[in-house]
Amino acid sequence: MSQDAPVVFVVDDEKLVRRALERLIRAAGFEVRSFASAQDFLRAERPDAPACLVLDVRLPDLSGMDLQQELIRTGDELPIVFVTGHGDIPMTVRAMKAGAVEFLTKPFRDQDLLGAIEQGIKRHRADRQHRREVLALRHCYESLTAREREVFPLVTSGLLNKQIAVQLGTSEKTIKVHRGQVMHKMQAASLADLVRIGEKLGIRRSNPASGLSQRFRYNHSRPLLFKEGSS
Amino acid sequence: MASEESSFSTPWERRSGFDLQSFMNRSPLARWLLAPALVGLGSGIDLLLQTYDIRRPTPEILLAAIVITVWYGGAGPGLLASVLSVSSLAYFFLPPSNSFEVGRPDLLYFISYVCFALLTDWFSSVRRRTERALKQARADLEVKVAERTAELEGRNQTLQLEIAERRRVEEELRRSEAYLAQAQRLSQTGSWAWNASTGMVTLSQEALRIYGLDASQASCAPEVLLDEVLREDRAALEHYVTSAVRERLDFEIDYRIALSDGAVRYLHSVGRSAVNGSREITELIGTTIDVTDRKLAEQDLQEAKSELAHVARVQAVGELTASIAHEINQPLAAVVANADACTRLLAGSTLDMHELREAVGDIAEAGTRAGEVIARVRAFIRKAPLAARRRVDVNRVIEEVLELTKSELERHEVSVRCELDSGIPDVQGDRAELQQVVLNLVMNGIEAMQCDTGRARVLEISSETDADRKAVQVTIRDSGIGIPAESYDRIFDPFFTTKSDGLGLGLAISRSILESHGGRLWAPDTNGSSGAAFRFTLPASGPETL
Repeated sequence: MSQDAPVVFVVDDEKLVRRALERLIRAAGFEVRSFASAQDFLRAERPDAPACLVLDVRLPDLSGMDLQQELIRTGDELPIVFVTGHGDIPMTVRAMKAGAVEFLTKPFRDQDLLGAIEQGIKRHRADRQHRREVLALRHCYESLTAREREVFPLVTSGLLNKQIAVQLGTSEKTIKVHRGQVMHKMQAASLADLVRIGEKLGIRRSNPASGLSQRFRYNHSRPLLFKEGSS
Repeated sequence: MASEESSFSTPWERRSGFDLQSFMNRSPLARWLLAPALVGLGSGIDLLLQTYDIRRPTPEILLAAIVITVWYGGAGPGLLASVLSVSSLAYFFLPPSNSFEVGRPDLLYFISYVCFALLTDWFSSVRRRTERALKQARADLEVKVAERTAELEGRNQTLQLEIAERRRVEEELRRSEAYLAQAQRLSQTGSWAWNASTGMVTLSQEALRIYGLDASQASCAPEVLLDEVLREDRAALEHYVTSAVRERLDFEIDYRIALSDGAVRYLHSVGRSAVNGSREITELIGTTIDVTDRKLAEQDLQEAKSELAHVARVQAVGELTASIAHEINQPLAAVVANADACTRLLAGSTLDMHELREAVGDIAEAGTRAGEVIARVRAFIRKAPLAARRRVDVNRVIEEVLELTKSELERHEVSVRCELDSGIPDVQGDRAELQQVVLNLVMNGIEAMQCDTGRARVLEISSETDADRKAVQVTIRDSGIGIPAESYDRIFDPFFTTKSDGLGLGLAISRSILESHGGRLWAPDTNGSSGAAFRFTLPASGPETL
């Protein structure tokens, strides 16, 4: 299967509607897979391709809204286009807040549905791209040593080698080596590049294991006061 | 006795009220004393007259004394008076005076006086006796007459009483007859009796009026009455009455008659057979009530009820708008999407005829589906004409309602568990009204499960029939909040509601619909399990009705 050939999933318990959606989306040039229930969809194996889910709100047992919550819970970023026979405003708001691409009321114009599907696929494609990048970077990050991981956030915070050396209680020369290793392992061409990578990985925020970064961030805001006090 | 004797008393006695005669009768001494007293008085008067030389002595006064003594004292004292008066005459008045000697010249006079005195005494005595006898006879007669009179009077009184009693009874009878006639008139109840020996029917005034007959037909042949009965009721009536007569049973039957002016009357007749010692029927007695007004009122009421039910149905559909919209939008979406797909397919370089054909087929199917939804809604809110009763499959009714509420159930995440017995008999009824009942119960169930109770929202619907297939029973049970104990007795009351936007008519109307179908609706005890249950029964339609 081609990496980029998008797939559209249709979940609607109404056979006539399901078939019509399938037919329309296929006519628009997408590959379509349809399911009669949310459970069937969850059980099915999905291809590794950009995709979009066209989902009926009212389904037996597990409703469309429930399926959306279930996908969010499992961290699945599959974009959802809701279709419903009769949608009320609270329902629409709830779906949209939870990240739905579009909320369409049956009957709808084909361009609205196809536009939403395209939008969804685009988003999914971007999400997939982003995730792939993050995955690669995380892979690189995992190759760093413990010391290098300590040095990483201090570097991206804009501290000089000397300052870092004071912080970590070591020599400036050692820090320089660590810094070089970090830049190399993270395949960063420049400091700006490394900062962006750090942001993508969420280093500054999502590294609670390191008390240092926390403390440093604090010091960073008021560097003069606490310069000597920390050890 | 004094009153009867008064006719023989002196005027003085009558006036004074003193009865000398009876006094004398009572006292013998007085009788005997009367003689010397009167003779003494007479002698005294004579002596007085003689002394004053008014006239020569007269023996008449002494004779009068004898007469009076006899009259009042009787024969004995009379004789004494005679002796005394003779003695007085001889002593005082005949010379020589103051001696009993009588001179020769006066001897004749003396003897004649004695004779005269004795005669007087005798006559007076006879006369007195006669008078006495007469008096006695009169008194006896008087007594007898009085007795007779009393007897007669007594009889007369009895007769009078009897007459009065009879008159009273007659009056009472007349009044009671008038009451009866009035009561019959007011209650429109006529009475009749059929005599087995003559074969004729006797009708009361009111019965005549009910059947539109005149007084000359107060006694007529049963055929006269039977002829008036509507053709469609006649056979049943005839069959019923003849079998009642044969079995010597009481009977009760409703039927209709057509009067000569074409007016139709609804009648209710009750009959009882009277049998003699050998168990032979002698008479058939009964009443016939004109229930036309009541029947018409019932029909009016039924119409009003059905009108109300219709309003409630329209309202129920109003509440279902969202679901109905969904039901219609669903196939419409399929139509539009298929049409769009066709447009795209037709714009393509190669035509996939198979796909196009399928798409067009689906469009037709979806269109039909949308039409069916609309037809279903229309059938549901249509105004049911009265007596639009026909055979209805209750399971089908339940299924139709579930179709109608499908999206409503889905919307509220209610799952339905159906246990419909396919073997239940049909019932006789109005489909739309029965749908309304089921819809009402289903919607109530959905609503009752809106509060989060932490339990699965399940609506259980079951249908079954009783052992002898006489009735169909449907139970609709939800897993909601249940019926609060304090409102349990009132849930079927009109305008009682626990909902903020409810009219409180749903259950009341449902119950009235079922009752008009000869059925029943109630909330059975759920035996502590959560939720509420409603159960209704409908009588199975008999095989003879179509």
